[in-house]
Amino acid sequence: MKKHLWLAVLVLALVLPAGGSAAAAAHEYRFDTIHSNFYFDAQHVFSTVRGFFKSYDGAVRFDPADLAGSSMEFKIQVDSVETFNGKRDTHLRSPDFFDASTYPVITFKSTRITAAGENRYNVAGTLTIKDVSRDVVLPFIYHGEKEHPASKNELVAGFDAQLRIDRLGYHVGNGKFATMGLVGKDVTIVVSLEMMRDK
Amino acid sequence: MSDRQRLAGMAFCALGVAALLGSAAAIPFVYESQSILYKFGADKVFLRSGKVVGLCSAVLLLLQLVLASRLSLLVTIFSQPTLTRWHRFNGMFVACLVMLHPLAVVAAEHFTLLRLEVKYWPEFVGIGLFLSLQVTVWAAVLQPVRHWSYPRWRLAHRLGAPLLILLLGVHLLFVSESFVRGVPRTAALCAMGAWAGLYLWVRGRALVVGNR
Repeated sequence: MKKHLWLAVLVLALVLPAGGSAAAAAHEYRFDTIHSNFYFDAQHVFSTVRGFFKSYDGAVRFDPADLAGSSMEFKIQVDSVETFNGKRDTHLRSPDFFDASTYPVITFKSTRITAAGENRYNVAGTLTIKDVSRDVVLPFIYHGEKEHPASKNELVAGFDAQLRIDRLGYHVGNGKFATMGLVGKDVTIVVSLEMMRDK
Repeated sequence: MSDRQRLAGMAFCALGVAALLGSAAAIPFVYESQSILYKFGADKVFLRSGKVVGLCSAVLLLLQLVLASRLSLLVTIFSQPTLTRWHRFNGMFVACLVMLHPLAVVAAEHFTLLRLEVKYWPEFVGIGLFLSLQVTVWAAVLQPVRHWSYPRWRLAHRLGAPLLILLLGVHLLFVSESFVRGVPRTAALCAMGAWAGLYLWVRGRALVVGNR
């Protein structure tokens, strides 16, 4: 009897997936930094000014079949902000806006990924800008994964996400420009990623 | 020249310099750049002050050649030793005054420093100008103290002057939106052109006459 019990335990241990291998089912990707971007659009009087962050890092684990084991984490270097105007970029890095010397990183860390339709998913997580952390839901489109057209040993996956935030809620600006009608308080964040992994 | 004529000449020159400085100082108020529009309170004061100091320093730097050119009318009015003395004093004054320019401009951005990126090249030209100016002025101060060769120092000083003005022109015309077009740009180009013309005339005269 004891011998059968030990055998059963051994078989179960071999057959049942361990906690670690459930997470391993979600693919781990690395950024194709040349073809990925974190953009932001802000309203200036009548026009839209687009900028982006040149330097970022993070970890993306994603598998549509294993959302529980999937996660996204982004770390964006604030002083890499680029709007193609030196004086504006310096102003953005100053305490008037991002205060890059005090808060050098913008972070997003997912807590849960859920399906929201065909190829659409919602990433719930914590967005931290400056001294403010807020729970947000980042809806994204998963464009799928395929063999990279230029590199047969690699797979490429695409993600597109968009989120609108109130920059004043994150203390990015003191509201004066918004009151004057110079710079809007709502900012649209556009994330467009190409992520790679080895075949 | 009579004393009365000399006094009139001095007054005219003083008024001329005051007019040049006043015109330069007015540019940040009359031809506001976009960067000033986005500043408020103390930041606006710092930025405007930095621009005023920079422009006044530019005018005084351009006038250095006038003081050193040995123009006969100026020599008659002021005497050569006086002009030489003012040239030396003005050089040191500009070298000190211009230190306030980057300080005030950076203070307006709460001391947010520039990144090493190509888009800041006009500012980096300004840094090169600042350093070159300091080297030029303080080498002139040290030359008699350190007993450096006077002919060599003078040659370097005279060759370095056009470099300073070239850096000044590039920095001025590209660093601020005020000088992108219109009256400020025309005035800056005219000033650079007049300086270049006077420099060539002085150098040409020296070659022809064989003066020192």
